[in-house]
Amino acid sequence: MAYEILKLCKVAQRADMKAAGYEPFVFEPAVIYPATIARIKQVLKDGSLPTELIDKNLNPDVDPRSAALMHRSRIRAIPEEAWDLALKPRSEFTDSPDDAGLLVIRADALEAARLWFTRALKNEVGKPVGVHILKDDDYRL
Amino acid sequence: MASGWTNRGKYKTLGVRYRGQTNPTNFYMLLATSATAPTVDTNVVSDLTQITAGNGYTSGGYQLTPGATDYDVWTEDDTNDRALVQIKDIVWTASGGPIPTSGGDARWAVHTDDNATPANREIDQYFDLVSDRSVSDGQTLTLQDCEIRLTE
Repeated sequence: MAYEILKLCKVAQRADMKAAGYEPFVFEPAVIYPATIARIKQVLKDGSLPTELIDKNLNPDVDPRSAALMHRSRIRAIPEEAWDLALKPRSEFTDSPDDAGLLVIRADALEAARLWFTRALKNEVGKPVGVHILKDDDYRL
Repeated sequence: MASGWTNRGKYKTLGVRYRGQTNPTNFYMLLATSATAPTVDTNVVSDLTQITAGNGYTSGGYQLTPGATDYDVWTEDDTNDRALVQIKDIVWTASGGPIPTSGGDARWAVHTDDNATPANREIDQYFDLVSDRSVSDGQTLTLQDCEIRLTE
């Protein structure tokens, strides 16, 4: 499964970000989170190292795989059920004690996904990036 | 993970934004031991115990310059009503011996201003490294994906 980050977002019309030295991109949560979580599930299943997270701007002292290894460790530490919970709309959870625990691991999964696609974007663009995540309450933490 | 802003950091940030105070020329990311855990009420570096300098770690920590190069991801998150800035990867390479050279290992990373005296630097945010960290000669200690988050 190819994870092509630039096909999962659009160039944003953000003059403020551009003027500050960032390449601006806009993300629709309903696009980026399912795609990223599908990618994460694939990595968890086949044990591969995500190439999109391997650094291209190499510091000779640092293993370029280090970020990819770190992200893979992070996703392995998150309960498997969290990935499906992350795709469940926030409105389907209540304030009950039972749901409280589910919301915690759901949030861990969504944040891991966000950091994943942010890193992938930064690696692909090779420059500082501005990220605008549009509003979608289904993906609220 | 017990990371977050200090009250001093919030206070100073509002001062720059709304009171026309001058932003520091530089910031620093400093490593501290587990001797004292930073909290919202921690103000300056002397409130904590910095790791021993040497072998590639300079007292006061790693210098950062405000701008896109060192703060290389800038996020507006309308889904979660927050904004975030991500700091670039920070790398210390141990040379001539381990980091830290002696004493307690690194347990916290703290983001400070640039007061000329490291002990007097004001802390804006603190990051939990989860466990004590040290590296041997030739190895690197890297901070990745450190984020400064602003939410109401």
